[in-house]
Amino acid sequence: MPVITVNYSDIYELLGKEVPEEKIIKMLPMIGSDIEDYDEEKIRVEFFPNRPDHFSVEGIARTLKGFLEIEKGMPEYLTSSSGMNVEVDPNLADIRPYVSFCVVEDINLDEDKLKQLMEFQEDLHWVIGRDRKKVAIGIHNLDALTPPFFYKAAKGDEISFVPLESSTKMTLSEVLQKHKKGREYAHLVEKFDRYPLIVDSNNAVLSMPPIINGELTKLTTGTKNILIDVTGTDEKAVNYALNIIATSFAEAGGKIKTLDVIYSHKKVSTPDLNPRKKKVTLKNAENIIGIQLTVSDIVDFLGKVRIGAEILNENEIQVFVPSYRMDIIHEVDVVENIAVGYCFDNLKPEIPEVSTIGREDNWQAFDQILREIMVGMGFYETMSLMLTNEKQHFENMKLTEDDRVIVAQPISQDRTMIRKSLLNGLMEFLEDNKHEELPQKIFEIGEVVFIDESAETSVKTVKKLAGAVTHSTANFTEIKSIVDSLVLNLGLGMEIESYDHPSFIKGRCAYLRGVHEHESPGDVLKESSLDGSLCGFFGEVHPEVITNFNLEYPVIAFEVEFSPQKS
Amino acid sequence: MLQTIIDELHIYEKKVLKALESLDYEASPEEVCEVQSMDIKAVMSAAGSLESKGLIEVQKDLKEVISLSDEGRKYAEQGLPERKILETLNIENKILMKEVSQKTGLDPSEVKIAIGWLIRKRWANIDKGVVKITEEGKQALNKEYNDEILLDKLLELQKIMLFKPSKIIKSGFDLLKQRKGILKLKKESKYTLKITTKGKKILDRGINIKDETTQLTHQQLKTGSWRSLKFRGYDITAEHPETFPGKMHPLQRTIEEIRNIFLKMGFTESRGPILESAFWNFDCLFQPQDHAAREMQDTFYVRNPKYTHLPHDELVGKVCSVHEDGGGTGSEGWGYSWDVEVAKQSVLRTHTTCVSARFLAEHKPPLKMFSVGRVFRRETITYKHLPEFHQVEGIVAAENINFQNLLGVLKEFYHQLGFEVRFRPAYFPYTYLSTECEIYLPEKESWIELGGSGMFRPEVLEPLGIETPVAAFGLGIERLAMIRLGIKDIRMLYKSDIGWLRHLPLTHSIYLDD
Repeated sequence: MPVITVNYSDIYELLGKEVPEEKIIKMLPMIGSDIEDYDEEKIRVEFFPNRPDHFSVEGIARTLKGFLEIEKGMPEYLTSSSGMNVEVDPNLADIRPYVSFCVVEDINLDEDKLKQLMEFQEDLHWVIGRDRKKVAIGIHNLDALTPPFFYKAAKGDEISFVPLESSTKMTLSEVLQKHKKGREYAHLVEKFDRYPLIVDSNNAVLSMPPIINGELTKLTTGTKNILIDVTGTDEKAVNYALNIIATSFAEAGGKIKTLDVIYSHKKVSTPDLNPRKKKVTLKNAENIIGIQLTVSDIVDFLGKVRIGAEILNENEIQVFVPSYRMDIIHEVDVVENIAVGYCFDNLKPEIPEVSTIGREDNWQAFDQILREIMVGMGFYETMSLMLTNEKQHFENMKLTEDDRVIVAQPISQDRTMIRKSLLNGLMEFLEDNKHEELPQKIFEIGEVVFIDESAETSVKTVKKLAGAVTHSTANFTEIKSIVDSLVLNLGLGMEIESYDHPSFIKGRCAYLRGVHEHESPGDVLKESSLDGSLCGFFGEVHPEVITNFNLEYPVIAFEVEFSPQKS
Repeated sequence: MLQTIIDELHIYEKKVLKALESLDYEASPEEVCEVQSMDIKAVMSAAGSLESKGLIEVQKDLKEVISLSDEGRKYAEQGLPERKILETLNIENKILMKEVSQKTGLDPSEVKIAIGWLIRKRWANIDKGVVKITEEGKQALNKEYNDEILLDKLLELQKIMLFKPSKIIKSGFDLLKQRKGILKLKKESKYTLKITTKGKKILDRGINIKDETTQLTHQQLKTGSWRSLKFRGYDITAEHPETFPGKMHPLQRTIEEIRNIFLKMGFTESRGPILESAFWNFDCLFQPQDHAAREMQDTFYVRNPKYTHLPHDELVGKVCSVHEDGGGTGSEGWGYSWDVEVAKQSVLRTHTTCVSARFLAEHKPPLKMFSVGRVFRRETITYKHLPEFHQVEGIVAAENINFQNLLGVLKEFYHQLGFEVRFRPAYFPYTYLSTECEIYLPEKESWIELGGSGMFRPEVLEPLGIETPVAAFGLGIERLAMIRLGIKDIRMLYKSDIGWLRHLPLTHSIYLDD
């Protein structure tokens, strides 16, 4: 999320007065932000992605003015027509169909302001623009241009211009191949046979959106009048981005002028700074927040967060949402803003008067029983990550790789799949603790995941319990005794048969089932009889497996899984 | 006082004291061994503890100790070469010098030295190349010379200390050390045990050596012999081996504490799958399909199985319309064309909020639900972050539920864990009145962020068929556990050191009142 650097001096200039720094530091989180750090000159503050209008100091100051009661209610921006227009090429309909323009006159740019503007633009590119895919913004020195303007679809070799950060002319295709930004953003346009381009009446290139602007219109500290273009694939997002950036300039004293954008089927004037209208009722606001209000309270609190409001009657308020507020899409968002204006610190936490009976999840309750048994036998509980890798999970356990949940873009080669067994986690724990005193007895209770195409999520989650013991004389009898005790204490009887499991020494491994007393031995062999029951295996771990985990003492282990009760 | 000391004496200690009494209050450990038929280890350990009680003094001197080399051992076993010649002379009376080697089987190099010793010991003399036995030689046939006596003793005892040696040993040593490579000489500690004044007092008071018992046995109890036994008191400050009880994992302990709080507050526990469809993880929670959190760099998408199935069409259809234009919720929606294929993608759930969504799809308010489970985020493993961790998720849904109730639940929850809380505005796509919850750490004098909460948006609730407000929260558990355990590295929870687990106390949150 974007982190904005706010200089106190800039804020004071915009507020028109000085305010104690602590007051600002305390207030910023209450308008919805995280303070990263601060010193005597500046605050670095992170704003949430729903409020791109806060990504500039001007936008932040606008909200603070309301909170500090310097200026309340919806900000009004006077606009007039620039008399300029832009024609949109219908061929752009499938490429990058929307564009909005705006002129701002009488601006003041110094080095700091230029740097802040670049950052503001990049934050908007990222948050609203989805890295320029949905929206891209260009800001130009208006005085270098001659209107009208043309937004057109141009062939790769049709025209050449000097892009920013370059000193030579390039064709559009060359920009995509040779220029740093061209290569970075080529993926957004390269599938088309024509590329978006903005030129003036002299065919001078302003911009090749969403890639790069021309050197011709580059902003400098002397720039007085600017032209803003916003192009994109989502008309709403394009207009919000323009409104946010235009009103931010207006907050700093710029004069906004509109342009006519002429599509083949319509003509629109941009920017459109008219507020959107919503209604909120007193009853809803009170019920949702849980406080008592009056309609005039609501007008007041909304005013503090710079939202316009008019009382319609004793229960209804007409709300005017500023044109730069893209986060308010429902009445509940208005209610949220009433609460922000009221200030979260003034709210009183209250226990709800809803009586319900707490019920434990049966599987969690069952875990506690397993824990009691294992801890009683002197075992330590361990927890390992469910993300593991094929080498540890299969190869080091002498198992063959089979169907499993595989992560598409792992963070590292160590975490590529979701575990199907808990045993390698236990072995890794013993490896990490090989220099600690023996004996070591550990267990883990956890979920593992198997592929199951028939399930809604295409997988089946299974609860497992595994244990491992290591010391110089650990042997089959010891683990058999442990497992038998576990099964008995779960109220089941243990049935075993010999079993070849690659992780264990051949002839020293057994398959086990926990059976209910009422079952006859014959039933045990049928899968269907595993009803609220368990099955698994235990034995002496194979020496190759032990050495794969760099261990030097015998290890005995078991793993069992539990099946749900059939009702 | 003295009697207490006597009562606590181990039988070996008593035996050592008694032996010293009989050996003029001063003796070597070896002498004590002989008198009491004890082994040297027992004597030394008893001497050590007697010294620590101030009853004897253990003097340590470095003394020369002799032992046999391999060559010396050969002589000790087979006899000295001059003895072989003497024995041959006894049969043959005289032998030509040049025939000595042949008749005795001695190596010619040995013969020269052996003849030298024969003459020195006056067992023979040489006259014109002939070796003849002397009278002394004949007498020596049945009698060992002093060097031979020492060799025999060394063979028997392995080593002899040259401390106040007898005349025979002294002369034997003087003889043998003139030969090269027979004896090994080194310095060893020699101990002398001496009774102290306090020790004398103990002895004067009289100590009784009778059968003492250390371990009470089954046999003694069964036969009743314990009645006549004396149980020696132990030195209770002596070292003992450590005992390690089995334990629940400390993170699990925190989870149990959290579960108990919500159960006590009347919440019903639920759970859901860790591999979810993007539908339940994102779409159903009104997260637009191009939302940044849905991108590959934050979310674990799954290659196998790549797609899941979706729930019933009615729900999918409603979710589609709220995304596109708000459906019937009064919302503007996101204004884009919703793609069902995107919703089918498998993901490792990024939050437990999908458990709440699934629960709401199947239950009608009023309800309170919580769930603890693992969630996954594409984070590299560092001391601060893991790619998977636990969250506790909760919802309260009822006709008159409001935002202050949500704050009330969270305040009560953290209060039960012993923390002060504060709330500030935040943003989540699936809630309004979105709130970040922070707890206060007095030791750091700072607030840390532990979870998000808010009221579920109408765009989330309407497709699920819920008509009441729903307060919802999702809180991190690992950071809470780390604060509780006083650890700074989150990896310790999953890659634990068994030494840490063994020594970690369990008493933190319990206050025992009257």
